[in-house]
Amino acid sequence: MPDWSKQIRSLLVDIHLEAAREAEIVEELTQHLNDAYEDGLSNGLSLREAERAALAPLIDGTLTANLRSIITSAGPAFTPGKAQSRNLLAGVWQDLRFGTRLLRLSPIFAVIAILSLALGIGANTAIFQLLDAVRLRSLPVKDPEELVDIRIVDNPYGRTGDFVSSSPQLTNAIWEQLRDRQQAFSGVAAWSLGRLNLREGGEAQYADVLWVSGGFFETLGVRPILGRLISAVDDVRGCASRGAVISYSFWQVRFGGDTSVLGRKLILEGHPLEIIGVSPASFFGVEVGRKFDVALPLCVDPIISGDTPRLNNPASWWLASIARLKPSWTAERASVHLAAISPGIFDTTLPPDYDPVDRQHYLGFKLGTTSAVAGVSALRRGYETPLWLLMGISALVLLIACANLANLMMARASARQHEMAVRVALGASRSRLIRQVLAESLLLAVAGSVCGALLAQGLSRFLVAFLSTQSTTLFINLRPEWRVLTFTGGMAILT
Amino acid sequence: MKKGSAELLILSLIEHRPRHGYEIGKLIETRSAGVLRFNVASLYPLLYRLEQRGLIKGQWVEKPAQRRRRFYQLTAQGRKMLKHQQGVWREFVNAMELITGAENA
Repeated sequence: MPDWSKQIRSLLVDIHLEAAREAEIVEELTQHLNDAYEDGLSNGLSLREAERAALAPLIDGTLTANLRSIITSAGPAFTPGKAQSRNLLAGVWQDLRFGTRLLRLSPIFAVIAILSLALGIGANTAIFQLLDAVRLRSLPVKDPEELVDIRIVDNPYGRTGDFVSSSPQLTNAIWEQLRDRQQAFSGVAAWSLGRLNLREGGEAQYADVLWVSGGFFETLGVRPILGRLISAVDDVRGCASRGAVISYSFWQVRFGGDTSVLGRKLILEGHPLEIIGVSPASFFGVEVGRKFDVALPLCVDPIISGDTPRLNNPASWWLASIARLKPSWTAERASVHLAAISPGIFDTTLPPDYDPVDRQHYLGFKLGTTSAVAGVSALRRGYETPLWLLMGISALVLLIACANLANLMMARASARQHEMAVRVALGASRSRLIRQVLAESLLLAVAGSVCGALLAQGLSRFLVAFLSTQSTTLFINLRPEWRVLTFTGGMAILT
Repeated sequence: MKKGSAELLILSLIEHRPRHGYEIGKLIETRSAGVLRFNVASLYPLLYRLEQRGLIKGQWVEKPAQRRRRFYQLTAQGRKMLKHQQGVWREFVNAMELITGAENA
């Protein structure tokens, strides 16, 4: 008996039948040809003729064509896991779910991977958050881009006298001259920071005081949420009104947000001052990193300082000045204007007890402007470069964390070669496999960034506490804002 | 041949007892006195299609001293289809007869 199965199989090979189904058909058709062959022999055909007669119907290819029409009419061939080219994202959800299951199966790997990412991202985010607060964020006032900071510029000699506060740029005498002579600004204001005792006896309790000139709040465009803010009428020599403005947080903490606080007395260094208004919650002053509890007009200084009034001392540097440019004026043009009026200002305000050298230097001083869009900050001067450096280092740490993670993933990938082979055998395309692996990485990255963002909140608070000292409490607004979140998201995707 | 008539032939041949493919082919040939002939290339695709449509069911049967063969039998659905087609076919033949007989008479 000839072996028909090989010929039959060769006819079926193009149809791509399931192996079991193909074997079944081969067996059945072989049986049929056997019967036909035997019939042929019993009808008197020779061996050769009987074989040819049995095979004859197979030669013209109709079997293949007929079978194929049946197979295709049964619907499209099912190939498990085959990505449909039309819908690129089909099954992403499955990928993610599968990834989650895999991670749950190897919790140690998952925890290590997520933790190392979280540390890297967390450190980066924390430092970026500080940088953002200290460097990048604008002052929470009206049109901050119009604000400039006025100070003595191009001074190779240094100044002589008493230096008080964190931004000692001007004396009161210079400030008054500047205010009266300038024409470049629609508003100009002076301010200083200090601390005063709130208690009359017993243990001292200090309030952070923001000293302001009459035009301060008006220049910045800050509006009160209760009562009124300090204006030009409060800041006159002699200080008849003795009004004080308290900050929102001080109002909440000390007075419980009581609206009847207006008109009540606040005792500072034993001197009663009347509360005339509350400043809005977003306003922390103009020095980034510091907050204030009470804002007082400059004219109160002689009353409180007693023996050492800074207001009348022409050698006491304790004020800083912030000004709003007139429309169409640029900071450069304002600088030129200030330079032009400087000789007059310094001539008039020359401290009488300076020695000849100091006198010569003082008369050569020149005023100029720098942008104050983001406020002024001793903190920024001191910490900006280190913060950027720290940022660089932590970025490096994140990079190392990523490299480590990549190694871990590689090790896992080689352990999963078997799984991948099975997937390919089941019909998974190359891109499908890559997508699967990417989905797993994405899961890790997202989990890592979420943990990192949480960690960053704690870390940046710790950093702030670390930078604060007893005499100057740091106040940095660490709201997790969109800029920080975008940054974290970017990090996650990069990772 | 009328469309669907080959199916009717197969369904009626296995109406009363299961038969295997070669037997079905042989029966069609002998009963039609050699007028109708199915070969391996046309018969089996037909059987598979009927099976796919759920009209017949193939089953491997092993008998003593014989190689196992695949026997086909009618399903309930196939039986219903057979009755329906027989009716249609009878109407068709009657109609043909009425027309051709009337002309000849």
